Amino acid sequence: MFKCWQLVLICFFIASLSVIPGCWDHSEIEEMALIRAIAVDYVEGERSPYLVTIHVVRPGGIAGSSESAGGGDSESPDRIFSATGATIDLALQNITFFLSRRIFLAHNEFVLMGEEAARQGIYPAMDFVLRDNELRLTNFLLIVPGAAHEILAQREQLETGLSEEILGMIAQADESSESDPIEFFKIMRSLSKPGQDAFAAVINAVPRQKPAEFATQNNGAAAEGNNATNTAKILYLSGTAAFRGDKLAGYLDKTETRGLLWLNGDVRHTTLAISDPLKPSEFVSVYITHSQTRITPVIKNDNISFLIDVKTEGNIYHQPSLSDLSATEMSEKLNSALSAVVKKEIEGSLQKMQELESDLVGFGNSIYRKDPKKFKKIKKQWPEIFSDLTFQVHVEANIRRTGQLAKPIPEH
Amino acid sequence: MLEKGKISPRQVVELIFITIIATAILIVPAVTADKAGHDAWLAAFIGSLFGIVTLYLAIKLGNKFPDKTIYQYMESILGKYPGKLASLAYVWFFLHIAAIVVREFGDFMTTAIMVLTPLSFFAISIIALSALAVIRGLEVIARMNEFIIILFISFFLLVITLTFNNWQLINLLPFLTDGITPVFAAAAVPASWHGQIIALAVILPFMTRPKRAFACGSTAVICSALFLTLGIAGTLAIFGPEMTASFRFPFNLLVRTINLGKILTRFEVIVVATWVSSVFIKTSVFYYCAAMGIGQIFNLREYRPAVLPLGIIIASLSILLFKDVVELVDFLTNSWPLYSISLFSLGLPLLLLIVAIVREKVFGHSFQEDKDGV
Amino acid sequence: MKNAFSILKKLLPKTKTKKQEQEKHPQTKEKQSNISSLSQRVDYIKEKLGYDTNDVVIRQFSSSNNKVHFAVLYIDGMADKQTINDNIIRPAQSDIISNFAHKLTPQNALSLLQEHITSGSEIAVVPDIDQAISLVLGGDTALLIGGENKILVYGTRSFAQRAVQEPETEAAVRGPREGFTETLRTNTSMLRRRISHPDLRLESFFVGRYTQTEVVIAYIHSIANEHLLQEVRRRIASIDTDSILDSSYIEEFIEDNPYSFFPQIEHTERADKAAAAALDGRVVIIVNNTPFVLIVPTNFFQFLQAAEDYYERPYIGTFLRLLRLFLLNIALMLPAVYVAVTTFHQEMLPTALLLSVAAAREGIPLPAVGEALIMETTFEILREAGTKLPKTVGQAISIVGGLVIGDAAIRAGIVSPAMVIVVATTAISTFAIPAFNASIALRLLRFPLIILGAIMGLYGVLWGLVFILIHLCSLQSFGVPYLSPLVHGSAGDMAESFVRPHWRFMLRRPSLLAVKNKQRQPGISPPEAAPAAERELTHENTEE
Repeated sequence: MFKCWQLVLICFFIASLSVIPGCWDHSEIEEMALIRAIAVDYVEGERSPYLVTIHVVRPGGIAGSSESAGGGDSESPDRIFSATGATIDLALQNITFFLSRRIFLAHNEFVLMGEEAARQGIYPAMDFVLRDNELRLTNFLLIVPGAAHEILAQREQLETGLSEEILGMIAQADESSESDPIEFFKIMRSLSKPGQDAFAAVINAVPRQKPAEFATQNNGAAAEGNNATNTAKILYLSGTAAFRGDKLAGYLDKTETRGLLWLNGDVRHTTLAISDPLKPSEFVSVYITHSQTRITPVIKNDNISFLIDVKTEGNIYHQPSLSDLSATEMSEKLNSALSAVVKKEIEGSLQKMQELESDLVGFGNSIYRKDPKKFKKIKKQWPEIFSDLTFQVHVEANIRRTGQLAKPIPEH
Repeated sequence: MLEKGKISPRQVVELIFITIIATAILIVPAVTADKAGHDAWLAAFIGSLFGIVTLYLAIKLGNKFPDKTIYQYMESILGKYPGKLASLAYVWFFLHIAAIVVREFGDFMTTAIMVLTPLSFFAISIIALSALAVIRGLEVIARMNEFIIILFISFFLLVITLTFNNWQLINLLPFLTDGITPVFAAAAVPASWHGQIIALAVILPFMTRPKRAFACGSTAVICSALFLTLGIAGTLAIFGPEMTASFRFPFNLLVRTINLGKILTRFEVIVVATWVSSVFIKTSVFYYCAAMGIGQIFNLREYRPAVLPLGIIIASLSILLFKDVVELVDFLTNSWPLYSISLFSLGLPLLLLIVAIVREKVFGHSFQEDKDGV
Repeated sequence: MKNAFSILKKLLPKTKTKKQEQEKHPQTKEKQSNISSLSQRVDYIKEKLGYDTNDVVIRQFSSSNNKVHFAVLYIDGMADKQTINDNIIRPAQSDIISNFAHKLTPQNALSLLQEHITSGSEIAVVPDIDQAISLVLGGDTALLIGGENKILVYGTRSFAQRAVQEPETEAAVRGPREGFTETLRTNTSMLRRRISHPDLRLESFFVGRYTQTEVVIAYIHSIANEHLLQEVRRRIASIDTDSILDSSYIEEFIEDNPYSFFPQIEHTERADKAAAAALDGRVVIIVNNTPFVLIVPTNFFQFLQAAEDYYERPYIGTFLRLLRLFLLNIALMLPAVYVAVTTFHQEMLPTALLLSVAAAREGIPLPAVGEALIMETTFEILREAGTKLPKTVGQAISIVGGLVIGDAAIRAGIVSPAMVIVVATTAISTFAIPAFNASIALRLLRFPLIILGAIMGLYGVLWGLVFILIHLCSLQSFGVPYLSPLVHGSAGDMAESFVRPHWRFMLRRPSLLAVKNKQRQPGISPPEAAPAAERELTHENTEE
């Protein structure tokens, strides 16, 4: 009779032998440099053109700030390190010479790309993010007009660290819908689809202006001379970088970005100013609560056009004009004014995309879905066809509620 | 009888389901997306239904020889020595599957979770566990599976639910762009996975109500087909067919896209853990089938003495068979379907059935007498 | 001598199957017939029990007509002297009490004494002096009659015993507060009081060569499975050992797998729990001299159920069951998972948590696994030291150990606060599991899991868990799979391991016990609403 437990014991023994030299992937938590952001810049003409800057959080810094009772303004826990390399990972390897800890990328939240690097193409960054087993697909890609490392040199304003600050700004982007920060896997998804180009949000560091300077600016006086006194900059998340293929083609400003979001049906909330039907010089602002978009390609022989249907709903948010808009026909007028504003934004955005020959909405892809054979024929010339396309934009806007006030505040 | 335990029809369903889906979900999405593009989900579904064919053959044979495993009735059908030879071929087949499963598991772990850990470590550790389970018998494997299947299904559905807000179902369009041909070409791979249901031919005699075997088997095949289709549809909807095809293990990346409120995120290691336990079940099932085969071919009183040597063989095969992960995936995509289906999932069972019927109908041989003689 | 013992083992105190026994062992009978005179037998007893044994009382006296001589044998402290005096010695000695006393002759003494003279609720006629001695050692009183080989044994057991108290180990807010005591009869009476049905059967066994401990199996004849009963009888009868001092001895002798970490037989101190088990179709094993009765067969989920689950609302019962299941996992895995996550899978932690854990770990000299092992060991030391001391001192230990040392260790930077939280949570979870013996298993298994977690990360923890699962799946308790309702059970049974159903819907007994009578109650019968007239009446009443 063979004894089971003997066999088990042998198996166990073999298994345990292999375990003894184990701990290959072991690393203690305090031996790792927690990287929260990577900035990639491209320096033309060098043998190692990629300038990579990492943003590391020092855990001790955070603990120290909460425990040190005496100190007033605590030291920032953020540290940045830079190095150049022929590729992103080689640059990272060169950074390790400055680091006392292992680079740990799993907690990286976003990759910033400088304008020059983005013009060279984002595939290298894509590949790095997707291939690495630590980096996550939910990282955000942000494009910086200018040098990416400058963003990481800024100080945080409200949060405990710069990365938290930028994450907070990304979360807030829904409020205005003037920026659409999206994750890597979504960018990659648009990149890989036939008949669609990718876009990414833009982040910039702008000179910080004191309230008084805003006042002088509005009065028409030039504020440029004051730049020497305020070198401090502040982060600014707005606008969109449009790609053609994987290369940066140009930028959409914030209104055009909102037009893109209308087209994609991604407008969550935003406040739009429309002119008062009674006093055209004054504004009524509407807070958008819902929006929905449908894009239908119309293919007649070689003639391609698109029907764009946008349905949106909002509430009156603010009405400084004090004119009485409570009548039914007034709300009709407000609705048509609102749809005109939305339509204008959409058309402006379309025009910009056509200028850049960058199909950020995926019009080509909708043709591909409808008639794949036809799209295969025109695939090569799609950017040119796209720039000459005609769109019929139809916006149906409804203002559902007027806030807490039914009528304007009564004047005596 | 080498196995004293009995397993219930429900356990059979669960065992087959896990046995098929465990590694299918790992490799099949990328392979089918590569070949069938937008229609990969359809390819997976069609391919999966091939399992019913193999199942039908296995059960037809099993019904002719109740209480006999495939190893035993092959001797009755083909004669003693040809039967033993064919049995050895099946033992090899099961060992081969087990080795591939272990290799897939090791390659996945070293790609996605623990990059620096050597492959052999994963191979040896999981085989040590499987050996223990095989020694404890089929009943124990089936019971463990009842636990593991709960985890597997709940985590699978959780992943699908949590990623759903990122699904773009338009990625599944256009439908059948290039006709049905690439779909069938892609269906070969999921079909080869579902052909592994032939392991039921070994387990069938140990089932408490063998009459329900076909119902059980087809339930399992359809469930695994649905899960596989859902998983592939998910990866297609999140990444699009082009990206899915370029990933090594798409479903893992699907899990990594989950980010709900910054809380339900970063838990792919737990999902992987449930997946690893299902891989353990799959390895154990094929390991068990191979050990049982050795026991019955050589008329051993117990199959347990064969367990340890077979474990060593599986571990070595898993490391030696393939040079690298590229070779592994290439083999599974191009050679494996032809090899496994033509020989073991369809060819041999069909041959056995035909020979059995011919011997019965034409030569008037009665296998029932044979059974009494044994 | 060995023969005598084997007879005793098979004999039940109330059912005297003497003839059978005599036929089986004729040599014993011969030996008996030699010792016929009273003084010879008294000498035999003295020799057997020792001349110097001072709690053995042999009182010799004669009947009033001086024709018959008696010897009364009892153990001081175990028999009721008052009863012996009033009901045995005095009636036999004088004819004032009984009219028959003067008729006594050696020939008729036995029947006269038994039927007319002496009084006692339990009287047995025992042919064998050794058997009489063993009964006397249990507290009975033997009356030896000169010129008569048979011995009269009176049931006079009376000794100091603990009163029925609330069970300390299984306290409940609601429900009966009666716990079993060390006295077997009290315990069986508690069971009998709960199940007043002729089908409650109690069978006795005597186990232990020296201790001769009485073991009773209690079951409901019309419910319990016959194969199960035979198996229980077989296993108990096959025990051959010196001593049974607690039911845990029996447990270890009859459990299926002696090498397992996990308890395979449930024990309880609560009479209501034992009764409920019997009503489920299980067998209750009551052992003399211990308040803990055993329940077989047992499945793992019984250890997660408290009696109180069935006395409170079903929702809280269900919630507590799920909570305990969660705590079970915490108690088993939390330190291991913590070690694995902080040393292998740092990406799993939310960034803020990772940063604070990393900050707390700055400057700690030990790796996470060292910290975990030290803290776990410290906890075990504290627990052990605390339980072995009187309650008041024990509290001091826990304060000094838990608070002072813990706080000092953190301040000194030896361990990180996160680890202290983890270990404390684990410790509390361990105590939340109702069955102490199950939580011991978890406590022990925690250590290997920590080490596996430190070597291979979560894969290692999983490896360990699957290893444990293989073991649990191969365990059986009296033919029932250990993890039964969850594996191998019907859907209803499976649900019942997580959900406490409403009593109105608990229609069936657990199917895996293969009971004879599956139905608990015929069906769902909601109590009818009060008739309208009655409702009006009460309404009027309240108005007045």
